[in-house]
Amino acid sequence: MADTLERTEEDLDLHTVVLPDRPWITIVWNDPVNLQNYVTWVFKTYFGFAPPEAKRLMLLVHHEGRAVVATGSREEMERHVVAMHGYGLWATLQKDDE
Amino acid sequence: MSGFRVTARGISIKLTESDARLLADLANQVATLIAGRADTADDAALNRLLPSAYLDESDSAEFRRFTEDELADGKVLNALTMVETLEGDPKDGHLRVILDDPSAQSWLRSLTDIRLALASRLGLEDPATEPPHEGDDRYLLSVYNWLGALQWSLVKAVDR
Repeated sequence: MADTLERTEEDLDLHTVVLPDRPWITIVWNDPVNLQNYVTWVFKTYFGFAPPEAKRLMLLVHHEGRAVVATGSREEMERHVVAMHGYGLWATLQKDDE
Repeated sequence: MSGFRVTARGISIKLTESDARLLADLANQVATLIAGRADTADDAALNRLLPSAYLDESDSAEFRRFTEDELADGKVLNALTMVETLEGDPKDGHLRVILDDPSAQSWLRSLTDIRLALASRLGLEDPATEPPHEGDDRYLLSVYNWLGALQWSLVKAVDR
Protein backbone atom coordinates (compact mmCIF):
# COMPACT_ATOMS: atom_id res chain seq x y z
CA MET A 1 0.00 0.00 0.00
CA ALA A 2 2.71 2.41 1.02
CA ASP A 3 4.68 1.55 -2.10
CA THR A 4 1.75 2.19 -4.35
CA LEU A 5 1.11 5.55 -2.78
CA GLU A 6 4.72 6.60 -3.16
CA ARG A 7 4.76 5.61 -6.77
CA THR A 8 1.61 7.54 -7.44
CA GLU A 9 3.17 10.64 -5.95
CA GLU A 10 6.23 10.24 -8.12
CA ASP A 11 4.07 9.88 -11.21
CA LEU A 12 2.12 12.95 -10.27
CA ASP A 13 5.28 14.97 -9.89
CA LEU A 14 6.41 13.99 -13.35
CA HIS A 15 3.15 15.11 -14.86
CA THR A 16 2.81 18.37 -13.02
CA VAL A 17 6.13 19.92 -13.94
CA VAL A 18 5.19 23.54 -14.11
CA LEU A 19 6.33 25.27 -17.28
CA PRO A 20 7.17 28.92 -16.77
CA ASP A 21 4.24 30.99 -17.98
CA ARG A 22 4.98 32.29 -21.44
CA PRO A 23 4.42 36.03 -21.46
CA TRP A 24 2.06 37.91 -23.72
CA ILE A 25 3.19 40.64 -26.05
CA THR A 26 1.68 43.76 -27.56
CA ILE A 27 2.49 44.27 -31.24
CA VAL A 28 2.00 47.56 -33.07
CA TRP A 29 1.61 47.11 -36.83
CA ASN A 30 2.62 49.50 -39.56
CA ASP A 31 -0.03 51.44 -41.39
CA PRO A 32 0.40 54.02 -44.13
CA VAL A 33 -1.77 56.60 -42.35
CA ASN A 34 -0.27 57.39 -38.97
CA LEU A 35 2.42 60.04 -38.95
CA GLN A 36 5.88 59.20 -37.69
CA ASN A 37 5.95 62.03 -35.15
CA TYR A 38 2.50 61.02 -33.88
CA VAL A 39 3.48 57.35 -33.37
CA THR A 40 6.66 58.44 -31.55
CA TRP A 41 4.60 60.80 -29.39
CA VAL A 42 2.13 58.00 -28.52
CA PHE A 43 4.96 55.67 -27.48
CA LYS A 44 6.47 58.40 -25.29
CA THR A 45 3.19 59.56 -23.81
CA TYR A 46 1.50 56.24 -23.16
CA PHE A 47 4.39 53.87 -22.40
CA GLY A 48 6.70 56.53 -20.97
CA PHE A 49 9.58 55.57 -23.25
CA ALA A 50 12.54 57.95 -23.47
CA PRO A 51 12.54 59.82 -26.79
CA PRO A 52 15.31 57.71 -28.43
CA GLU A 53 13.55 54.43 -27.53
CA ALA A 54 10.17 55.75 -28.72
CA LYS A 55 11.74 56.76 -32.01
CA ARG A 56 13.57 53.42 -32.35
CA LEU A 57 10.29 51.52 -31.92
CA MET A 58 8.47 53.82 -34.34
CA LEU A 59 11.16 53.19 -36.99
CA LEU A 60 10.98 49.46 -36.30
CA VAL A 61 7.22 49.54 -36.96
CA HIS A 62 7.82 51.62 -40.08
CA HIS A 63 10.59 49.50 -41.60
CA GLU A 64 9.83 45.99 -40.31
CA GLY A 65 6.06 46.30 -40.46
CA ARG A 66 5.63 45.59 -36.74
CA ALA A 67 7.27 45.97 -33.36
CA VAL A 68 6.77 44.44 -29.94
CA VAL A 69 6.18 47.39 -27.65
CA ALA A 70 5.28 45.60 -24.40
CA THR A 71 5.57 42.22 -22.67
CA GLY A 72 3.66 40.95 -19.64
CA SER A 73 0.42 39.41 -18.49
CA ARG A 74 -2.50 38.94 -20.84
CA GLU A 75 -4.62 41.46 -18.93
CA GLU A 76 -1.91 44.12 -19.12
CA MET A 77 -1.45 43.54 -22.84
CA GLU A 78 -5.20 43.80 -23.39
CA ARG A 79 -5.16 47.18 -21.67
CA HIS A 80 -2.26 48.34 -23.86
CA VAL A 81 -3.95 47.17 -27.05
CA VAL A 82 -7.19 49.00 -26.25
CA ALA A 83 -5.16 52.11 -25.41
CA MET A 84 -3.34 51.89 -28.76
CA HIS A 85 -6.70 51.55 -30.53
CA GLY A 86 -7.81 54.67 -28.66
CA TYR A 87 -4.87 56.51 -30.23
CA GLY A 88 -5.73 55.06 -33.65
CA LEU A 89 -2.70 52.77 -33.82
CA TRP A 90 -3.22 49.24 -35.07
CA ALA A 91 -2.18 46.82 -32.31
CA THR A 92 -2.79 43.19 -31.37
CA LEU A 93 -1.74 40.92 -28.54
CA GLN A 94 -0.61 37.31 -28.57
CA LYS A 95 1.46 34.77 -26.68
CA ASP A 96 5.15 35.39 -27.13
CA ASP A 97 5.89 32.27 -29.19
CA GLU A 98 3.04 32.34 -31.68
CA MET B 1 -1.11 76.83 -43.91
CA SER B 2 0.71 78.04 -40.84
CA GLY B 3 -0.52 75.24 -38.55
CA PHE B 4 -0.61 75.17 -34.77
CA ARG B 5 1.55 77.43 -32.65
CA VAL B 6 2.33 77.48 -28.96
CA THR B 7 1.11 80.72 -27.39
CA ALA B 8 0.80 82.01 -23.83
CA ARG B 9 -2.89 81.11 -23.84
CA GLY B 10 -2.47 77.59 -25.19
CA ILE B 11 -1.94 75.81 -28.49
CA SER B 12 -3.46 77.98 -31.12
CA ILE B 13 -4.40 78.00 -34.77
CA LYS B 14 -6.08 80.54 -37.03
CA LEU B 15 -8.39 78.83 -39.50
CA THR B 16 -10.40 80.25 -42.34
CA GLU B 17 -14.11 80.00 -41.68
CA SER B 18 -14.50 77.39 -44.41
CA ASP B 19 -11.62 75.25 -43.11
CA ALA B 20 -13.12 75.40 -39.61
CA ARG B 21 -16.48 74.31 -41.01
CA LEU B 22 -14.84 71.48 -42.95
CA LEU B 23 -13.03 70.20 -39.84
CA ALA B 24 -16.21 70.30 -37.76
CA ASP B 25 -18.10 68.54 -40.53
CA LEU B 26 -15.51 65.75 -40.82
CA ALA B 27 -15.40 65.27 -37.04
CA ASN B 28 -19.19 65.09 -36.97
CA GLN B 29 -19.18 62.51 -39.75
CA VAL B 30 -16.74 60.30 -37.87
CA ALA B 31 -18.78 60.63 -34.67
CA THR B 32 -21.93 59.67 -36.60
CA LEU B 33 -20.21 56.75 -38.32
CA ILE B 34 -19.01 55.33 -35.00
CA ALA B 35 -22.08 56.11 -32.88
CA GLY B 36 -24.46 54.81 -35.55
CA ARG B 37 -22.61 51.59 -36.27
CA ALA B 38 -24.57 48.33 -36.43
CA ASP B 39 -21.90 45.80 -37.29
CA THR B 40 -18.27 46.90 -37.25
CA ALA B 41 -17.19 43.99 -39.42
CA ASP B 42 -19.36 45.23 -42.32
CA ASP B 43 -17.45 48.46 -42.85
CA ALA B 44 -13.75 48.82 -43.69
CA ALA B 45 -13.42 52.25 -42.07
CA LEU B 46 -15.12 51.07 -38.84
CA ASN B 47 -12.92 48.01 -38.86
CA ARG B 48 -9.85 50.20 -38.85
CA LEU B 49 -11.24 52.62 -36.25
CA LEU B 50 -12.27 49.77 -33.94
CA PRO B 51 -9.79 47.07 -34.92
CA SER B 52 -9.41 43.49 -33.77
CA ALA B 53 -7.26 42.98 -30.68
CA TYR B 54 -6.33 39.41 -31.61
CA LEU B 55 -5.33 37.85 -34.90
CA ASP B 56 -7.57 34.93 -33.93
CA GLU B 57 -11.13 35.80 -34.89
CA SER B 58 -12.95 34.10 -32.02
CA ASP B 59 -10.66 35.63 -29.35
CA SER B 60 -11.13 38.92 -31.09
CA ALA B 61 -14.92 38.71 -31.20
CA GLU B 62 -15.10 37.85 -27.51
CA PHE B 63 -12.77 40.70 -26.54
CA ARG B 64 -14.72 43.09 -28.74
CA ARG B 65 -17.93 42.31 -26.86
CA PHE B 66 -16.35 43.61 -23.66
CA THR B 67 -14.36 46.57 -24.96
CA GLU B 68 -15.76 47.97 -28.20
CA ASP B 69 -18.47 50.19 -26.74
CA GLU B 70 -16.08 52.01 -24.41
CA LEU B 71 -13.50 52.45 -27.16
CA ALA B 72 -16.18 53.74 -29.52
CA ASP B 73 -17.59 56.14 -26.90
CA GLY B 74 -14.12 57.60 -26.36
CA LYS B 75 -13.72 58.22 -30.07
CA VAL B 76 -17.12 59.85 -30.37
CA LEU B 77 -16.29 62.08 -27.41
CA ASN B 78 -12.96 63.14 -28.98
CA ALA B 79 -14.71 64.02 -32.23
CA LEU B 80 -17.42 66.00 -30.45
CA THR B 81 -14.78 67.84 -28.38
CA MET B 82 -13.18 68.86 -31.65
CA VAL B 83 -16.53 70.09 -32.97
CA GLU B 84 -17.11 72.07 -29.77
CA THR B 85 -13.78 73.89 -30.00
CA LEU B 86 -14.66 74.92 -33.56
CA GLU B 87 -17.88 76.63 -32.54
CA GLY B 88 -16.44 80.07 -31.81
CA ASP B 89 -17.43 83.24 -33.63
CA PRO B 90 -15.29 83.92 -36.69
CA LYS B 91 -13.88 87.42 -37.17
CA ASP B 92 -13.08 88.72 -40.66
CA GLY B 93 -13.62 85.25 -42.10
CA HIS B 94 -11.25 83.57 -39.65
CA LEU B 95 -11.62 81.54 -36.48
CA ARG B 96 -8.97 81.54 -33.78
CA VAL B 97 -8.99 78.17 -31.99
CA ILE B 98 -7.14 77.83 -28.69
CA LEU B 99 -6.69 74.37 -27.21
CA ASP B 100 -5.92 73.44 -23.62
CA ASP B 101 -4.10 70.17 -23.02
CA PRO B 102 -7.16 67.85 -22.83
CA SER B 103 -8.73 69.33 -25.96
CA ALA B 104 -5.39 69.10 -27.81
CA GLN B 105 -5.34 65.39 -26.89
CA SER B 106 -8.85 65.00 -28.28
CA TRP B 107 -7.84 66.80 -31.47
CA LEU B 108 -4.81 64.55 -31.98
CA ARG B 109 -6.91 61.41 -31.65
CA SER B 110 -9.80 62.77 -33.63
CA LEU B 111 -7.58 63.95 -36.49
CA THR B 112 -6.14 60.44 -36.54
CA ASP B 113 -9.60 58.88 -36.69
CA ILE B 114 -10.70 61.23 -39.48
CA ARG B 115 -7.56 60.43 -41.48
CA LEU B 116 -8.03 56.69 -40.91
CA ALA B 117 -11.63 56.90 -42.13
CA LEU B 118 -10.67 58.98 -45.18
CA ALA B 119 -7.74 56.67 -46.01
CA SER B 120 -10.06 53.70 -45.85
CA ARG B 121 -12.61 55.37 -48.15
CA LEU B 122 -9.84 56.33 -50.61
CA GLY B 123 -8.23 52.89 -50.52
CA LEU B 124 -4.95 54.39 -49.27
CA GLU B 125 -4.41 51.60 -46.76
CA ASP B 126 -3.35 49.39 -49.64
CA PRO B 127 -0.01 50.73 -50.92
CA ALA B 128 -0.78 49.22 -54.35
CA THR B 129 -3.73 51.58 -54.83
CA GLU B 130 -3.08 54.41 -57.25
CA PRO B 131 -3.93 57.77 -55.63
CA PRO B 132 -7.05 59.30 -57.20
CA HIS B 133 -6.35 61.84 -59.92
CA GLU B 134 -9.77 63.34 -60.47
CA GLY B 135 -13.23 64.02 -59.14
CA ASP B 136 -14.42 63.91 -55.53
CA ASP B 137 -11.65 61.53 -54.52
CA ARG B 138 -9.02 63.97 -55.76
CA TYR B 139 -10.57 66.58 -53.47
CA LEU B 140 -10.74 64.15 -50.54
CA LEU B 141 -7.08 63.29 -51.06
CA SER B 142 -6.13 66.95 -50.80
CA VAL B 143 -8.20 67.19 -47.60
CA TYR B 144 -6.46 64.08 -46.28
CA ASN B 145 -3.02 65.57 -46.97
CA TRP B 146 -4.01 68.86 -45.39
CA LEU B 147 -5.19 67.03 -42.25
CA GLY B 148 -1.82 65.27 -42.12
CA ALA B 149 0.04 68.59 -42.18
CA LEU B 150 -2.32 69.97 -39.55
CA GLN B 151 -1.77 66.97 -37.30
CA TRP B 152 1.99 67.08 -37.79
CA SER B 153 2.04 70.68 -36.56
CA LEU B 154 -0.20 69.80 -33.60
CA VAL B 155 2.09 66.94 -32.53
CA LYS B 156 5.04 69.33 -32.73
CA ALA B 157 3.20 71.87 -30.59
CA VAL B 158 2.14 69.31 -27.96
CA ASP B 159 5.44 67.42 -27.94
CA ARG B 160 7.85 70.12 -26.85
